[in-house]
Amino acid sequence: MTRPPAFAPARPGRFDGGLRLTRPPLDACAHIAPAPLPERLFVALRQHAGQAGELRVRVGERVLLGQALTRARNPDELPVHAPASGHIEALGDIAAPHPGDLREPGVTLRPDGLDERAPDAVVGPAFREREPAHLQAALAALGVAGLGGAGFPTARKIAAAGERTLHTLVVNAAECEPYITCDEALILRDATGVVAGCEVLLHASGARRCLIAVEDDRPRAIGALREALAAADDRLELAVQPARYPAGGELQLLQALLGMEIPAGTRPVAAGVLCVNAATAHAAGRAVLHGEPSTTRMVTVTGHGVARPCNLLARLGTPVADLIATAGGYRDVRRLILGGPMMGVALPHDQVPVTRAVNCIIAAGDADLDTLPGEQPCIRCGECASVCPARLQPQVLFAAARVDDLEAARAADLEQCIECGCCAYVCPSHIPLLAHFRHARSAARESARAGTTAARARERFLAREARLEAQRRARDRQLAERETRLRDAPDAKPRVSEVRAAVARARRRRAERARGQ
Amino acid sequence: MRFDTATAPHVTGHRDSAALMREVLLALVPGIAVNAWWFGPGVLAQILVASASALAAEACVCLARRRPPLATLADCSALLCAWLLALCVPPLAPWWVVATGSAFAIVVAKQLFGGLGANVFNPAMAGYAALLVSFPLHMTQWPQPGAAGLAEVWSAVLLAAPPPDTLTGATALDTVRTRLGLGEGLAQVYAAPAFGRAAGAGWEWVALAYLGGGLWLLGRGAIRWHIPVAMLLALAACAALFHLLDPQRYASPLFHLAAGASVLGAFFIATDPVTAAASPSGRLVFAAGVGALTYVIRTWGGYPDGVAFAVLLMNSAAPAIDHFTRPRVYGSGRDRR
Repeated sequence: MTRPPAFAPARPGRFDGGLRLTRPPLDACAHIAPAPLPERLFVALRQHAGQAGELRVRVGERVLLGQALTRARNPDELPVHAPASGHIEALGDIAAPHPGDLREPGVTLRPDGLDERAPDAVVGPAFREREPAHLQAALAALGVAGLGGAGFPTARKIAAAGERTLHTLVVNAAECEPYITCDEALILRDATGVVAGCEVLLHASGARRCLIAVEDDRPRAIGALREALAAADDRLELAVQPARYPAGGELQLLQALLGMEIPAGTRPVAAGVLCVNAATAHAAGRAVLHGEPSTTRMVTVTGHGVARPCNLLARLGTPVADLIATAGGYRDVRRLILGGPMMGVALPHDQVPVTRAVNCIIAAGDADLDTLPGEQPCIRCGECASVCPARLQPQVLFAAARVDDLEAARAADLEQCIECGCCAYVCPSHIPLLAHFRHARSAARESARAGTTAARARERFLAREARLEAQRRARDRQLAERETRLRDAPDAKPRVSEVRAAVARARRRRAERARGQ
Repeated sequence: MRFDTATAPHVTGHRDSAALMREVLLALVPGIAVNAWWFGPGVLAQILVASASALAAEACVCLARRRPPLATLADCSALLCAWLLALCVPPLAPWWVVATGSAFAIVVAKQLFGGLGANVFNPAMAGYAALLVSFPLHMTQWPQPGAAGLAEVWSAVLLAAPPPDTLTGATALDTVRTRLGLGEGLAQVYAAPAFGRAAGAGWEWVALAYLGGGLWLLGRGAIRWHIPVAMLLALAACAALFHLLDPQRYASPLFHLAAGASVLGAFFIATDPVTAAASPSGRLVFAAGVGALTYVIRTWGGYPDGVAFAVLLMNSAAPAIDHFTRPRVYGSGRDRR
C-alpha cells in the first residue's frame, strides 16, 4: 500500500488550502536559448483580453521586425507586431492553441531571415523624467499585455486604478505548477532586464514599492535576482515564498504576501495593488527602454516525451512542432499539454502557434501522467474542501454541477473557483471535479449573457407596450372628454349656428387655397 | 500526429476510496483479535455471516438496479458496513440475527437511499437499531469472558440454539443501568466479578485495541482528528460533570470511555464521511452531539448502549449542521450565510 501524500493544512500568513507538489526530475533550465526562426510564423490577431485591432497589412506586403500588423482603435484593442521581417503570405484563420481544434483570425508571415527592424520610438533610460501616462501609452502602443496567462493589457490594468493610488507593485515569478520554468529561465537569462522592467512599471504605475515573489525552491533564480537587485532602485524587494501550489495564483500570492483578500467581483488594483507576471515586467522594460514591441516570450518545452527539455525564447507565432523539433523531437509521447499538469489543456495536435498565453508545452510520456481508475460516488470525505484555496466546498458544488443546477452552484460561490484543480487532485473517488466546474462556469456565464440579452429585449418590449397603451389611453380620454362636452351641452345636437360657422370655415379655406394657386 | 485529449489535472494524489475502506478494515483487526481473545471466536463467525449477507444483498440490489455488481462490491463499503455491524452484535447471537441486520443495512439504509454516498443514515447503525428493536433479547446477551469456545459458537451461532444462561449475561453498561434502577449504588455494582478495571472484564482491552487501530488511521490521514476527539471529549465532559455531582449514581468518565462502543464509535462509526457533517467545524459540532447524546441515552434511556441512536440522530442533523457551519468563501463578506 503506497502511503498517501500528506496534505499540510494552511498556516497563518499563507493562503488557504493548496498542495505540496513534487517537481519532475527534469531540468529545463539547463538549456536556455532563442528558438530558431521557423519557416512560417502564424501570428494571432488577438493575443490579449479584449478585441483584435484593425488589420493594417495586405497579402504580399513586406513587413519589418516590430512593425505593427494591427492598429488599436479603442482601449479595448491592442496592436500585434511582426515577430520577424518578411512577407505576408496570407490573412485569415490560423489554428488556435485550444483543446477543441478551434481556428482564429491571424496573419501568416514568411520570414526572410534578415530581421530588419522597424524604426521605433524609444523612451530610453531617462524614463523617470516622463509622465507615467506617457509610459502607459508606450506600453499600449508596443502591445505589452500579461504574459502570465490572462493576457490583460498592462496599460489598461494600470489605468483601471483610476484616481486611486497604487501602493504596491507585485511582480509574480512564483511558478507553482510543476514543470513550468519559463519565468525562472527568463530570470536566469536576463535578471537585470526583469529588474529594469520592474523599475519601469514602478514609475508607470506610481506605486511606492515593488515585491518580486519567487518560490523558495528556485535557488538559482533567487541568486540571480539578488545580484540584479543590488544595483537597482531600493524600493524593489525580493519576497521568497514557500513552494506550495497554487502560490502563483494572483489571489493566493496577495493573500500570502500582503495578507489581503480581494473582495469578489473586484480587481487587485481596486485595493491598490498592481500584480503582473515577471515576464510581463521584462516585456515592459524592453518596450520602454529599447522600444521593442512584445513579440517574443520564453516557453518551457519539457516532459518525458521530449528528448531534451529546455526553455526557448520563441517568437510569438512559432508553431509548437518547431519548438519540439528544437528540443530534440518526441520520445514516447502520449499527450501534449499546453500549460502545467494541474491546469493545462491537452492539445489534439502540434500544428498550433505560440501565443502570449503559451508558457509551457509538456510532451507528456507515461512517467508524467497518472491513469485514473474509474470514477466512484462522492463520499463527502471533505478532502477537496481542505485543499481549496478559495475555501469552497467542492463536494457541494459538485452535487449542483452534476445535475446542471446553476442556481445552486451560484449559491455555493462557483464564481470564486480559481480552477486550480487541487480538489480533483486529492479526490479519492477520482471525480473530474475541475472539468465539472469549468463546464458549469462556462454554462453559468453563457446563461448570464443570454439572461442579459433576454432581459434587455423584454425591457424594450415592455416599454413599447407601455408607450402604446399610454397613447391609446390619451386618445380614449380625448374622445371621452369631447363626448361629455357635447352631451353636457344644453342642446345635445349640434346647433345650426355651429354648422353654419363650420361651413363658413370650410369655404374660407377653399378660397384661400384657390388664391394660393 | 494526434495526441490523446483529457481534462486537467493530468496528475493525481493517488488516494482511493476503496483503499481508504480497506485501511479502515485493517485498522479494525486488532480490536477484533482482542474481542475474540476475551469473548471467544463468536465474533469471527458473526463477521463471516454479516459479510456474506451484506455482499449478497449488495449484489442483488446492483443487479436489480442494472449496475455492475462487481465494481460496486470492489469499493469495500458493504464489507466495512458488515464488519461494523457484526462487532456490535453479541458474539453468540444466532446467525440469522446478524444476517437480517446486515441485509437491512445494505438494502434499506444504503441502497434505497441511492447507494454509497447518497445514504442519510449510517447503514451499520441503522441495521443495529433495527435489530435492537426487533430482537431485544438476542441483542443484549453477551458471553462471559473466556466462557465460549468453538463448540458453543457452533451450536449458538450457526445452529441457532439458545446458549445456556451460565454462558451469557448483560454487559457492564447494561448492568450498571439495571442495578442503578433497582436503587443500588455504584460501589456495589462495581464489586460484581464481571467488572474489570474500568468497564467490565475484557471490554476495556477491546476498547484499547480499537483506540490503537483508530490512532493508526489518524496517523495515515485516513480519518481526521475532529470527530474522534470531539465525540470522546463531549462524552467524557458529560460524564465528568454528573460524576462530580453524584459519584454514587453517575459512572466515571473513564467507565464511559472504556465501556460499550465509545471508542469503536468515535474512530470507526461516527467518522463515516457520507453521513457526518463535512466541514471541520461542522464535524466538531456533529461529533460533540454524538458524544453528548450517547451519554444521555446511556444514562437516562432504556437501551444497553447509546452510540447507535446518538449517531443516527446526529446523522439526521448533519445537513443542518453543514448549512450553518459553511466556511466563509474567499472574497465574500463576513456577514453572509
